Amino acid sequence: MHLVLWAALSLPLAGDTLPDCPRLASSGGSTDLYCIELAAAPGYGARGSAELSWDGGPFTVGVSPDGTARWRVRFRLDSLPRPRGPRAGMVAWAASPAMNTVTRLGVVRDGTNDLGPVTLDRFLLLISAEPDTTAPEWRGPMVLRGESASNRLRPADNFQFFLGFTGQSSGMPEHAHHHVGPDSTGWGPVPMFPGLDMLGAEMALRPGVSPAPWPGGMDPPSARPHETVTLRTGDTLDLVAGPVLRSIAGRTYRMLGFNGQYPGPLLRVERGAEVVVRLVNHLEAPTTVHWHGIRLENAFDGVPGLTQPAVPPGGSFVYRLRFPDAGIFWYHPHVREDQQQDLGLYGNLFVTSPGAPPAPGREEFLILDDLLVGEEGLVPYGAEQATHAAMGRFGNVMLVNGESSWRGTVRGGEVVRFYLTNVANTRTFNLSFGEGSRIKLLASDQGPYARESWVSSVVIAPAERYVVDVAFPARGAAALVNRVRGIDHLYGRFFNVTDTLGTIAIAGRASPPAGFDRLATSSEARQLDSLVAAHAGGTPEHTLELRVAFTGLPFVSEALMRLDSIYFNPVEWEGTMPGMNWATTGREARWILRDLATGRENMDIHWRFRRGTLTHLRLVGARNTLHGMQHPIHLHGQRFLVLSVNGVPNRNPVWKDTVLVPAGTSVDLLADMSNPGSWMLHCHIAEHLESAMMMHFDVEE
Amino acid sequence: MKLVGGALTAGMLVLARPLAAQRPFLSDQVKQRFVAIDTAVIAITGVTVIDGRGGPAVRGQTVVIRDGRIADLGAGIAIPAGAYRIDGSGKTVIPGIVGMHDHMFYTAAGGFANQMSFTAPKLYLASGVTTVRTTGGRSPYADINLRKVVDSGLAPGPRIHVTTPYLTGGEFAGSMFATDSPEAARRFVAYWASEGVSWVKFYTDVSRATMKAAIEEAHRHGMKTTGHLCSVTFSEAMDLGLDDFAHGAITATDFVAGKEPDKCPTNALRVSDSLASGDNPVAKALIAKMVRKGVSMTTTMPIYEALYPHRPVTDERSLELMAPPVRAAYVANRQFIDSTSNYVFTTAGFTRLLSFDKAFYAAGGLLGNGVDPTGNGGALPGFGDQRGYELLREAGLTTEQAVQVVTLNGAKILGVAKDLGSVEKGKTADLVLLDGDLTAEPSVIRKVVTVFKGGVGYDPKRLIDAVRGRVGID
Repeated sequence: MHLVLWAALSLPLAGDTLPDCPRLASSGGSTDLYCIELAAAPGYGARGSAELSWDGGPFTVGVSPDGTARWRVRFRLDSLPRPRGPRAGMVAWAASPAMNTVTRLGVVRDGTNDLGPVTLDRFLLLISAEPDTTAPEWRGPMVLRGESASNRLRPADNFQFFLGFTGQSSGMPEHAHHHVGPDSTGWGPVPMFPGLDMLGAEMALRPGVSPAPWPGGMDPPSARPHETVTLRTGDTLDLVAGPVLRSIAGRTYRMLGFNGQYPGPLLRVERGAEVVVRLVNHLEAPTTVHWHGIRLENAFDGVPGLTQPAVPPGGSFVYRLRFPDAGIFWYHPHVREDQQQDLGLYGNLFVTSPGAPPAPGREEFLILDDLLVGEEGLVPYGAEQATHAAMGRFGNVMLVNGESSWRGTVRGGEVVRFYLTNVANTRTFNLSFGEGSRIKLLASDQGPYARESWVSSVVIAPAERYVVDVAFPARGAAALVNRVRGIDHLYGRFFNVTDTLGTIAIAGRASPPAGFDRLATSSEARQLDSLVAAHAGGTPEHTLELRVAFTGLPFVSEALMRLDSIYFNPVEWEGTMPGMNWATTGREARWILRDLATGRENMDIHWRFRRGTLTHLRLVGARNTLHGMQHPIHLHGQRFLVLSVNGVPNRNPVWKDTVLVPAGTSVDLLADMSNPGSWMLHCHIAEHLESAMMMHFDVEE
Repeated sequence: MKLVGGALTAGMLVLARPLAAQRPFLSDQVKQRFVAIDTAVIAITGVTVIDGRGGPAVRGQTVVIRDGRIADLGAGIAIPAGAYRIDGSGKTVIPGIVGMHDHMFYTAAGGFANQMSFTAPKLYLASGVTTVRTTGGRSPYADINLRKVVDSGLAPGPRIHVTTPYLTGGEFAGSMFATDSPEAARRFVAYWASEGVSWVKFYTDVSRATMKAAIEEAHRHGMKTTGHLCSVTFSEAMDLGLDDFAHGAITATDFVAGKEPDKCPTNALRVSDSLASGDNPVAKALIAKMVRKGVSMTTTMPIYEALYPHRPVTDERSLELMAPPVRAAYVANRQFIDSTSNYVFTTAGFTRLLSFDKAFYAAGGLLGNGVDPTGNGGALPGFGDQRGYELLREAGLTTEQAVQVVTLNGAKILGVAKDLGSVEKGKTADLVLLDGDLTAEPSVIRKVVTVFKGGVGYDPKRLIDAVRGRVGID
């Protein structure tokens, strides 16, 4: 009898295959992270799965203003019990594990049910049989249940033992933990993340490269705030990259600047203009300038070894720039970005469109950055290779236009247009403007969205740009804040992180511009929508997998990576393992773009396209890699649309040049291969680029 | 359930399971590796029986097991033809031990904390523990799955009564579930009820309001509640309807003068250590109220003993089962405890705690016993349940009383005494055959010859050999 019983329990009760998440699986997105198997409660034969689906945009990751992941949920259900009674039925719920929060998702039936949103870090999905499906809380018995992959985060088994063990095996003398100055390796300790424990052995780690010397020169000039330079066709600008003294939060650092300014000068040009910029290198290292997002002539793209030789110290290079697209762009070196760009070599390029309607009010250009400051000053960069090659250099001092305490003033009710650029090495910001501010999202890297939309925050990855109109409340104070959820990997918990990037005083009164409440549709919307509709269901011409390989990692780093790999958040918003990250250099980490069709990796990949073709590309963040995280992928010289994320079509396309590919996520692009030449495709996390995560492709006439 | 239509095939099969007595299904692997006696009819002759009901030991008994049940019991009864005979002379039979604080995880000095789905069920069974209540879990689904695997005969282990994860207060509590919302507590309980969990476990920082809501919800689902308390006193918890106190007087903050409501006082352990004897007036009043309210207490003196100085806790048989780093960490911790002056616990304090347990029993309280294999790791699953018996004897209970506490009383607290917990004709044959006269020597509890669970005789040596060197790791 028991044998029979066991056999009966193991047999599928209906259908032939177990439900799964076919849309996600066929997109290449991680079913481990984003497909939840629903298990039947004792006594039920129902089956199902829940796909955590992309919300359709406008960003490639759905997130609440506080940084909590936000999902739509696609339930696929089978063999649900048949309801008895007119009001009875099956209801789906999402609950935090301790049941502090329960969200009623809605009535479900056999088949596909699209519900949501769910905005929880970690949660259970539950389906109960309800006598009355309108009930706000469940009363009936559970039929199916499943838990999010994030709910696997727990304090590790034998964790404290692990702490002690690694601490002992590090060979680090006791007093070293309290030593703040540089040790015999030349490195001081890295700043810990406030409030988080760090393993003794992790604190003892040092990068296996030497610290780079600080920008020299007898007396670098003190940097001054940037100027706006308007350039017209035929104009020539000298752009001098050189050392500067910067004063940040009351301390002075030797850093870098273009023309002695921070950030570099804001260049304003009209669309269609042709100008000349002469780069003069006053650095002690070679450099170039890359004009990020400009579909310019290949020879002036600023990629050393591909489009030009690097400009040696004391040398110069003439860039002839043309501007076919209006919008907000930026420029930065394409040599050791982790160091040169982080030290201040960046600026905005604003291409105006002669016929465009004027902004409703003031315009502000905000460049977001972060800087890593320790007790001894800026944490040095690696001389031979970049440090922070695991997650990228997360800073601990937030900068807006190079200022650590940016202040703005607006009138109550005023609408300000913000042009946002993220130049941080690795940090993705989840930016909002304080209570009561309304954010209208207008445009991104390469022009306007098909449709303007209201957003509660702006998710901006390194090298991305967004244009928003923000309506400020009538009174009170506003602020520029980055709100995200960090993960304490050692204890397996999420926690709030709020960085105030700047304060915005509200003084006086302005009447909101007429028609602000209206959301406009771009004149290109129909064309963009039809491109997405025509290609989103198609087969990608090329698929790149984004992964990492490590060699020679110290024991503690590898152990921490393994612990961390239990779950990868869609976006690693914060650097919560600072020592391990810092000590991992380009010697240990090799970040990889792998062409799945050929198995070729990084610079061994060589794609060719005919000019004028629309190419379907797929980027997949690998799950089965020691460290999975988001990658902002940049295509030089071209533009693209996001077709879909994890198989969910994009409902609000916009031309872009950099796309955030969240961990374990598949992002399909439609690239407009319009600009001939040899171009880079790479991760814009500076340390990933330094750790080989780049490839090139040719667009041929 | 009335909502459910035709898709209940599996559930109906469960309901249709025949009630006729028979031995449980076991996989061939379990049989070959761990079972010594697997015969429909077994007779143990000439054995001393301590039946678990508290009455005197009876010598020269024959116990007949048929199809998993105790078919007959007495002196000079007929031995059925074809019975597998066991000579019980010089041996003792007691009911299968009911372990009331028997986690499937284990912690040890040095920061070990591990789910032990492999070693714990084997160690429990090998030690004569045939029924456990998990009384809190770090990995609740692992506990639920383990119960399913054991009940299906795919792994050896005791009958498992699964408890919810720890429910406590505050914000973050590691692997515990923390909430200060009574509504969340209700949902928490309702959810785990639907997972087939039968007890709720509270922990030290739960608030009265949360506890009240959770108890009400638990009772609505036919569940019971226990707790390792601190923020709520024993007396308050009884007023809220708590069914059982995990541990004992050491967790009663009723002794702490000026205790703030809903707060766990930092000095609670020191105060309990110095005041919680059975003759303290606070203790007497508390015990009287516990008996009046019918609230049980499930003492866990073995784990506390391992944390008290100058106790005989460095047990060779435990040390040799521990994984080497666990063993080293435990031995170092014991040396620290025994060599530290002004240590938080005193030797006299341990005696006071034992006296509280005895006073509760003597007053008619329903006292159970369990190991709680946590703390510095000195009390192993199963071995600690046996040690609990020895400590009850040290507290002053008779052999028969101590057997009652570790067997039938646990079954009563779990609500399974109709079928388990005592050596009585007609009950399920969960029995422990011990080598020696338990009435003469308490340590005979450690000399397990055969453990019968549902009439199947397990070989403790083979179970223990399977876990050697693995305790603390898996």
